[in-house]
Amino acid sequence: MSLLSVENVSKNFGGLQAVKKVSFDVEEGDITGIIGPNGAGKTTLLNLISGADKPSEGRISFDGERLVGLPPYEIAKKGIARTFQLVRLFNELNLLDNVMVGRHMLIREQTVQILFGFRSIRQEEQQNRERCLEILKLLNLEDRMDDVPGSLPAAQQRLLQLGRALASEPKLLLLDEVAAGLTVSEKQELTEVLQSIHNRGVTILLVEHDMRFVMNICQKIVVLNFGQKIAEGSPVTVTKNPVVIEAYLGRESEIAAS
Amino acid sequence: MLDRGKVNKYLAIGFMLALVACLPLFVNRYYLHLAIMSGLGVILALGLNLLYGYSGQINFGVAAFYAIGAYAVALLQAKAGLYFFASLAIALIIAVLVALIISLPLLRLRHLGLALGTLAFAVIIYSLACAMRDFTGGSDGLVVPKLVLLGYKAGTTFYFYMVLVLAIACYLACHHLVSSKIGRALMAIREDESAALASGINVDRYKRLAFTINALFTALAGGIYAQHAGFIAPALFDVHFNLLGILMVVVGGPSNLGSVIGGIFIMLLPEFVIAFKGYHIMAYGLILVLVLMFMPRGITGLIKAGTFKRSQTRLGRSLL
Repeated sequence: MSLLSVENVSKNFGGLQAVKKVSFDVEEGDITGIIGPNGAGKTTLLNLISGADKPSEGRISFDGERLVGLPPYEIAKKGIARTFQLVRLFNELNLLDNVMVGRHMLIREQTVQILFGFRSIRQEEQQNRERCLEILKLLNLEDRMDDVPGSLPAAQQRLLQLGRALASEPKLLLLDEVAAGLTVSEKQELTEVLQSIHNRGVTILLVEHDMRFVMNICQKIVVLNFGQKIAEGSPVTVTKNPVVIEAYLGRESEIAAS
Repeated sequence: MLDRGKVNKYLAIGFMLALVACLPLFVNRYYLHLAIMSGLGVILALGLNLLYGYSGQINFGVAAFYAIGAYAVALLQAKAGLYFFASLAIALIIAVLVALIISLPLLRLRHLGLALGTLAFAVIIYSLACAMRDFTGGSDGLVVPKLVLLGYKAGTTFYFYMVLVLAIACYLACHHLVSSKIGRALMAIREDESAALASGINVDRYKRLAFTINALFTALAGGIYAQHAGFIAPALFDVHFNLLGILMVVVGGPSNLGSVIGGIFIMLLPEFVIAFKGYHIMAYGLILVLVLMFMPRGITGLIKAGTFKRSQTRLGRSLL
């Protein structure tokens, strides 16, 4: 059974059909990519999976459980974490606390224990802080743990978003244009980070329009155009598919340019 | 595990608390009354700060819960013949229940909508207190029965110590809350609700928690106020009281220490602006605008940064 399966999912915004009857599966342990030109419905699809938006029709199931209709925090509790295309961080919290927020669900502190300042709370905080520091270390951000996100360059803000998502120890990680605006060397670094996350057994579904980045890292690619799935398969088969080349990649010269 | 800085800090706090605890030995009843009012201000500000300072949700209707606490304490004694402490406990339960119910529609609102919604709720409570003449005494007010403790009438000194202990307890509770996952969840909600939701935070639940604690603390202050003052009337809980609550948090700064400073400062302010007589509300408004413009993080923020600057923070932006 697939970890995530999307079946006949559609989303209408008024008269605009942003996603039309899209179906695909994400296998456990894979890195799956969703690609497509701007406006293809990639981010909308991610929002439907994470619960930020509700599908107009169709089914989404994760680990055999239905997700449609659940609020985003319930979906997060099932083990799906995400990042946002336009970076969303907690700007007045330092880096460590940003990651600690991501760990919220795993911190076992009861309200009554907190109110009366039980000693166990301090241990719980300490243990979780150490786990979050490990994540900051993985992302090479540990020296900046006391700074606020606004003081970081854009690339590192993206990494911090990734760190916050990782802190919840998700089974499935949804990444929305995580490589957008990064330099070649930053992309290389990000690829390594994603590989090491993948090696720890995290399944990844990423939305991207940088072709080379996706080709390097994904086992499977789903191609969207105008809200519809036009192709699906390994990076090699997808890039050779004439429909994909025509609808998304355009002329041959543009592929070479990317 | 004891470092010198921490020991010094605890010693300083202990010394100040001891000094405050000795206050009844040195000052007359009027100043003790001011100290009680300051303590009630601190309790109120701590709760409101949790909601407004930490989770970023404004409550422009604290007067409603102050009035609920005060009227419940007064009426349960005067009409039902209950003892003060039982009345206070029931008053707090009523405030929590009202907060849980009213938060269902109110917390669907944001920003200006939430400010107006909570203000409207305070106006409803105020109007009820005026209109239910047979029950509340209407605008003539209500005399609260004197509290008799072990055969003696409880005096100002008793209320002083009661408020002191409760204010410390509330401070500690807030301190624990904000240094836990609850505090982080509240701040995450203030900074970015979508990201908080995606991080597994039940945003509605935490907003409701902060709103309920705010209501609980406010009703506690109101209940003790009624008993200490011995008389309550709707005029004490009018619209202008709501402004006082916001002023405490904004002037003090969005932290627990800020609430302590803001609560004391705003409660003592009438003593300083007494020269303005009828125009003192204008003075409050002026202070609010000036603080928001030049001290966006309040007195504590000013001490920390050591400089005045134009409003940059969310707290300031959300009002101006």
